[in-house]
This record gives sequence, C-alpha cells and structure tokens, in this order.
Amino acid sequence: MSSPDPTAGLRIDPCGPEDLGFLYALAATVTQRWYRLCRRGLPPPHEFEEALWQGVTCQFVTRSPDGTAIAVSSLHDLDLRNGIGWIDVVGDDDLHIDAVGPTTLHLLDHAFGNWPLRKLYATHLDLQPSPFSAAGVPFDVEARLREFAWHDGMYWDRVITAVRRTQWTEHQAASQAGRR
Amino acid sequence: MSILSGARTVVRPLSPEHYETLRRAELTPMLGTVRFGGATPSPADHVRSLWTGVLLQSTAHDPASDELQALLTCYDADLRNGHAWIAIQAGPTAIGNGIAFAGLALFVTDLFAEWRFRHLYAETSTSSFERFRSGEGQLFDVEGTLRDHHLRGSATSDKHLLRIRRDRWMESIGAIVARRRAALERQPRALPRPDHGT
Repeated sequence: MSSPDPTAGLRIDPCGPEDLGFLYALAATVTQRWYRLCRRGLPPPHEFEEALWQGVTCQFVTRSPDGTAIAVSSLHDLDLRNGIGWIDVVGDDDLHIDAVGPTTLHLLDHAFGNWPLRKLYATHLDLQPSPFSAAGVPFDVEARLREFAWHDGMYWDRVITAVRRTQWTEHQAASQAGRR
Repeated sequence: MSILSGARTVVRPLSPEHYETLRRAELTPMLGTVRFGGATPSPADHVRSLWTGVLLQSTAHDPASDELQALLTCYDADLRNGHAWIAIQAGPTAIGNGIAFAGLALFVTDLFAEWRFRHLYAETSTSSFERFRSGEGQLFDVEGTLRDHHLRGSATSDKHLLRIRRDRWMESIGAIVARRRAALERQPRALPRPDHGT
C-alpha cells in the first residue's frame, strides 16, 4: 500500500523495520514533542522498537519525493467501545514543515475511513503550535494541563485537542467544493 | 507507604488477599463499566491490570469492621515533570459513608509528603464528578473536559480532567490531616492487659 500525495509529491508508506534508524534519530531530535513515545525521556535503543508499536493500530512514514523519510504518523490507543482513538504526527518541522499537513490529512482519512471512530484526540506541549493546524482541520482544544512538562528551563502546558467525525466530514466536503 | 489511620478510615498497602474482592466489585453492574467497559477479565488479567503503571496503591477500610471500602491508586508517575495520576474506586457500600474520601485525603497527603509531586491529576466521568464537584476551585481545578468521550448505547457522557495542586492541598486538607493525626497520637492508648494465664 502506498499513496502518492499529488499536492506535495510526498509518499506515505506503512512503517517498516527499515525505518527504525530514522525514527530513533527523529525521537532524539524531537523528544519533547513525541509525547506517546518519550513521555519519560528517550527510550534506550533496545526498548525503542517495542515502545514504537505499543498500543499502535497503524503507523506510517512520510517520504520526500527522493524517498527520504521525513515524518511519522500513528493511530494508537483505540477504544472502539467508546469510538475514540489518539493520533500522533511527528516530523522534523524545521526541515520539513510542509510534510505535516498532508501527513495529518492522510492519517485522519485512514483512521475515520477504516474504523468506526466518533472522535480522535491529539496532544502536544504548548511550546510549539499544534502540529495539526498545518492540516487546516478544525481541532478543538478540550483540555489544558497547566505547567505539565519541564523543557528548556520552564514548565509548559500540555494541550489536548480533538476532532470529531462530523467535523472531518465537513472539512472534506468543503475541501472538495473548494477544488471544483 | 505504611499504614495510615484517621478517625474515619484505615489505609493500608494493597494486599493480594483483596484481589478477588476487588475483581468482583469491579464487575458489578455499577462499577463494571468504569474500567473494563463491561468486559470480564480473567483473575490473572485483572491482577496484571491492577498493577500496570502503578507507583503505589492502597485500600481504605472501615476502622470498626475492617471492611474494604475503596481502592486508592497512584499511577503514571512522572518524577521529572513532578506529577502523577490518582484514582479511587469505591465499592457500593462506601458511597455516602465518607470512608473512601477520608482515605483519599490521607492517601493524597502522604503522596505529597513522600514524593516531589507538584500536581496530581485525576480523570472522572460526569456522574461521579457530581458527587464532589463542590470542591472545584478549592481542592482541585478542572483542567479540561473531553466532550462526549464515553458512549453507552446511544448516550454519551464527558470525561473531566482534574488537577490537585500541592501548595493548595497541603495548606488546606494536608494541614487538617496533620492536626488530626497529631491529636490521635496524643490520645492515651489502652495498656495491654497482663496475661495471668488460667
């Protein structure tokens, strides 16, 4: 399965063993931003692969047109009884900020398309703008855990955001109408 | 955590002898939807779930009968950032008698006394929240509400995320607990009767 992105020339593939080196290097670079994996700091290499897949339903790597891995996206902690799940999109934003939007859109499409989910949550530290704002999808802020994490000499809030299936459907309809 | 005792409750570290009581309590219609969503885990899976991610947990007992009233858990501790999550599961007999919440007061005070937590977080459903929401702004803050988080049949309900701040807690409840403990320790205790034999 491989879905070329017509707008950015990106390729989004299921994550495989060949991506482990890239993912560990990425985690070391963006430790504070990859909350699911690095909530207590960067795991040691021998624990990293298991942690990478813990509770994950699907996980993708986004590649630039020349095949270089530049971002990762995950759907995890699915709770099908309540119709909810969590998503991560992590990229080396300094170099590949343009990849985060298409990666997020792909993951939302994949998640809402394949599972009966009502709502998807995402969380980020308030030291950077929500990575999902780049996708243009209306995530609502539902919680702000104040002074949650220590980084760069101060405490930062942890923000929990959510997007509902209805919002996603409306966003898709509006995007399609805009393209006509 | 050692044994903590107050006038209304005794709090002890969780002991294996209570596993089956807790499993059965959690599978009652009222509580069974909280953690397992109606599923009935095996005894072995239940014990694993009891200890996953747990820093410490205790049980609160009625001081008169020693009956188990509630399970108190501290989990997902993050000492780097100075916080952890707490949970309380009270059995049907504990609702309204104050033993579970008295146990929680001892438990939280001891957590702040023994660990360098700045905050303790808890999550609760709307129906449980109604029982103690009067403490909002004094004992805890509401940091957010995950709307329509739970789904049961066609009805949805919210999940609330609460924060207990160390400074505010220790100035209020922590100070009360300390005063009551000191008063209990000052009370004269009955001397053991000499055993004269028969």
